[in-house]
Amino acid sequence: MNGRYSRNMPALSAEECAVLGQKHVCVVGCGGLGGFLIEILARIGVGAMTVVDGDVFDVTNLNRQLLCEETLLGTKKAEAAAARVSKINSDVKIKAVTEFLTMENGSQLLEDCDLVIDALDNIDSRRILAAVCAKKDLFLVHGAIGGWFAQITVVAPGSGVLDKLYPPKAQVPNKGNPSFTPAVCASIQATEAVKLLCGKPSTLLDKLLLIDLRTLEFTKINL
Amino acid sequence: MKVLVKFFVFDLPPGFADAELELPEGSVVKDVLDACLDLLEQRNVTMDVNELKTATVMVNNKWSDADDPVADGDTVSIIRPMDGG
Repeated sequence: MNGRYSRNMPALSAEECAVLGQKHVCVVGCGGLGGFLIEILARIGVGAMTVVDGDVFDVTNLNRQLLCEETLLGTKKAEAAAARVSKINSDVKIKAVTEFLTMENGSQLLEDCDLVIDALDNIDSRRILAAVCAKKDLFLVHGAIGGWFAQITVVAPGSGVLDKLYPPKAQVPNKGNPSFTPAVCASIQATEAVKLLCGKPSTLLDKLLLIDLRTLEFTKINL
Repeated sequence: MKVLVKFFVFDLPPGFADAELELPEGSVVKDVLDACLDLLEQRNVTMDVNELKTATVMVNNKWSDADDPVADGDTVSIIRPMDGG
């Protein structure tokens, strides 16, 4: 569609927009983070996306998950994501995977991907994703939220960063998930994804961005 | 010896500041966490003990385990894990 990406520019060059159109991103998780990520990446013009989630929408998702609508309760999240992308940008090749990531299916799910985005909601699955990315030599854009807080980092294949971020006995109390937190976290994850896809240096490679939305403190820690 | 402790993304009261803790020579990361619990109690802050004791710790920006030593002038960053999506 003519002019679709004109407002990407000059923040992104025409060449960078063309590069994005050739890239394939896998978004693992189509909930709070995933919904915003998929929307942003479809609109900016990533060429292809594989979206992975074995879950269905329930009423507790309505407060924050962009893809969740009252009429979609009970619908598979990955299928809803694919339908949304088709409405936003029919140029995006979208593949919906309605199963959860496992060590067994991981390699196949990430086949032909250029970049992987962690939009998961539990530590065990995140560890599996990092292991599969290491095996496939893929960079991973990690994001996680809890209450008024978020964290984002870019994980080089095999760096072991997620194992450090999540010690074996880590306790993660429920802090709730208000609607604004996934939006902030996903936007920054998408920003880093676009940089990586365009061949720009990632600001968060080997760095952890910690966000406190109560105080609006953004802290970058060298890893 | 003195170490500077920084709390990241803990649900602490607004204005809860970084803290300089006085510790005996030979202290390790676990001792810092114990001292933090005392500090929180002094400041009337309620926190699940496990939340603090299972947090990620970096000493001078290096990943650290409970038994790793700390030295005078070190900065100890304590990061609460989060996993929501």
